[in-house]
Amino acid sequence: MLRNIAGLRSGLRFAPQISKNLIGGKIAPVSSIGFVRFNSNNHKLNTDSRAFKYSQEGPSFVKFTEEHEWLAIHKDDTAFIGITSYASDSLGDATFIEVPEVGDRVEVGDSIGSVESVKSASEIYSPVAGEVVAINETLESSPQLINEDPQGEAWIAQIKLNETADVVGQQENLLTAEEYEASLQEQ
Amino acid sequence: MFALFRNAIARKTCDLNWTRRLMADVPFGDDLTPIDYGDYNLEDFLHYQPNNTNTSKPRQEDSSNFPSDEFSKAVVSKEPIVFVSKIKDPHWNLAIEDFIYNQMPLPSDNVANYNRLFLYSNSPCVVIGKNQNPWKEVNIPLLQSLRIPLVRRRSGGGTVVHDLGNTNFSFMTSKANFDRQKFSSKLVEVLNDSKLLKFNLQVNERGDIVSLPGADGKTYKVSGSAYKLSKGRSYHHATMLLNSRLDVLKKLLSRDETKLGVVDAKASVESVRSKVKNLEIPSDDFIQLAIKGFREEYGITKDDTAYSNEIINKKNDGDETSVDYDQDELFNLKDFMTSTPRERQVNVMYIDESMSLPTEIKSTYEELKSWDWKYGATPKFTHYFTNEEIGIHVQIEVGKHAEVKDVIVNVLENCQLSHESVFDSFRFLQQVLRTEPITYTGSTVAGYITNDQISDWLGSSIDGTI
Repeated sequence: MLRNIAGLRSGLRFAPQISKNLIGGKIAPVSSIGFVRFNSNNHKLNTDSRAFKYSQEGPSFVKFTEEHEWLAIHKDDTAFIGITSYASDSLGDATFIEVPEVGDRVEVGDSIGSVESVKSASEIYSPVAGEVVAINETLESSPQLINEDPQGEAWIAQIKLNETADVVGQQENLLTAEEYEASLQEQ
Repeated sequence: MFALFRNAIARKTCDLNWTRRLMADVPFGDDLTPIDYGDYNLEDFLHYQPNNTNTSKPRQEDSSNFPSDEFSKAVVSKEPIVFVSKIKDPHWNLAIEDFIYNQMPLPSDNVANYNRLFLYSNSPCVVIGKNQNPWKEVNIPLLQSLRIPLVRRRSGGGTVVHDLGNTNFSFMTSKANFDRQKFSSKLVEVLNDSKLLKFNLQVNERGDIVSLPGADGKTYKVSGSAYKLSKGRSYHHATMLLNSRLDVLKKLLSRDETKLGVVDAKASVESVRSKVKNLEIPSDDFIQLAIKGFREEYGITKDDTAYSNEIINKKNDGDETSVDYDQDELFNLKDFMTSTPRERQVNVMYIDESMSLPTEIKSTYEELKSWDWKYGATPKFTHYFTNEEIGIHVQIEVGKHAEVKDVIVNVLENCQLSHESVFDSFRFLQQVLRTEPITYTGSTVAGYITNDQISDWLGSSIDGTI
């Protein structure tokens, strides 16, 4: 973890200070560098990634969930899903990423994959309903990408939404960056 | 984190030093034995008597046959509970664990705890991690011939071998309270204080329990951990080597790559080898100590504020999933509450074959037993086989759901058969592959190969198909 933060994040994206590390346990002592807090910049997607550049003007909405997934909803009613930097930091070095299959139909709350890190299998859930239209095959051979660029190139799947982007963008289970930040501070 | 990184390096070096290390290491836990040049000593298995220290009755309390509806109520009850399984079938135990885990109610705050501890021992079996490759980790033909089950669990981590000399503990709590080391640390404290051990223990950075360095400066692993995190909940389960037949069991993980082929599974999770040792205490003693640790850390007292508040909350919030019932009456507390005056208390429920278990457990059991889960859940991989005798090299590409995607055949210089006849014998297989998926079993693949010698060889190399 410290290696990641020092080497990859160059001090730009630190984990939040929290007394109880949500999913990391003692093995990922992010609180030891805890004077740095998240701000809204921590929740920005990598604007060079496919998840962002899929539409020329970028996603219409970027949303988050309490289970630490992010969602980039594009105007063609598809959404890219990944896990947040916070989740990736807490989990530690990933050794395997399970991605769904193209054609899978998912409902809100269905598992769409999992991350294995330091012997922990952690489920990833879809916060939206629809059909998987693309998966990130790079993750299958390069699981470490989820630690390097969780909010960008390490998107997990692209889902064709059952509803329009505008409707999904208003879903109650989806948080804005500010709301997600607030939920992290509560913990 | 650092440990994982170190292990990756350690794995590379130990491949090079394999033959030397084979003598020093007793592979178990997360351990892997890619090659074993020794013979299998199969007679060991014929005389294999599971250690019987586990079969005696628990000394302290007994459940006297719970009806299944009480089990169903216990799994959703809003208090910490210990479950002890007397069932020895690994698939049933994993299915029960899964059920207890998924039924565990989640507290509305971080104060109340509805934590569970599940204790169980399995008859001999090999358990692989969720994202592992059994062809790489396990000597499948040997397992098949000995009828020792292969089990894929739902948590991460590496391959372990179980027998009745091993007792497993599974600590379940909310996701917010997930901690890779906390329960192990408590357990180590209780075990070290028990005065029953021949050597003291500590928790390492991977959450495994190891001996304190002895005179030789070495530590030995006695317990290997794996974890699962899902919506709102988490578990930490682990083995505890008490009186396992390590010498016998390690053979199940020994693969001779010249016979069973080289598995290139770059996407899957590899096991980490460690030196292991038995704790040499009876299973009953360990179970009682584990319950003690859980009770001291998570037990409740009747005037426990958090507990009382939770009961009040439960009555006020009209939560339709919670059923109001008298805890004392339900669990007949006076008879089997593990407690001493004014100390924390915890209920213990024993599970045995006489109980009729919920149907969900049965369906999980069926799923865990299925080929689709055990083998079919393997991440895609390539399996390379070389037969020096015949003089051919076969490369099999296996995709998701363990379906054969491609078979590539090369003829070696010393091939006894005509090149044409070698390629001919794979023609039917390759033709079928273009039109329908073929599951990666020895019998299926061998069935499409028209040369008997090649067919027998590949079938037996894949999974012991004769």
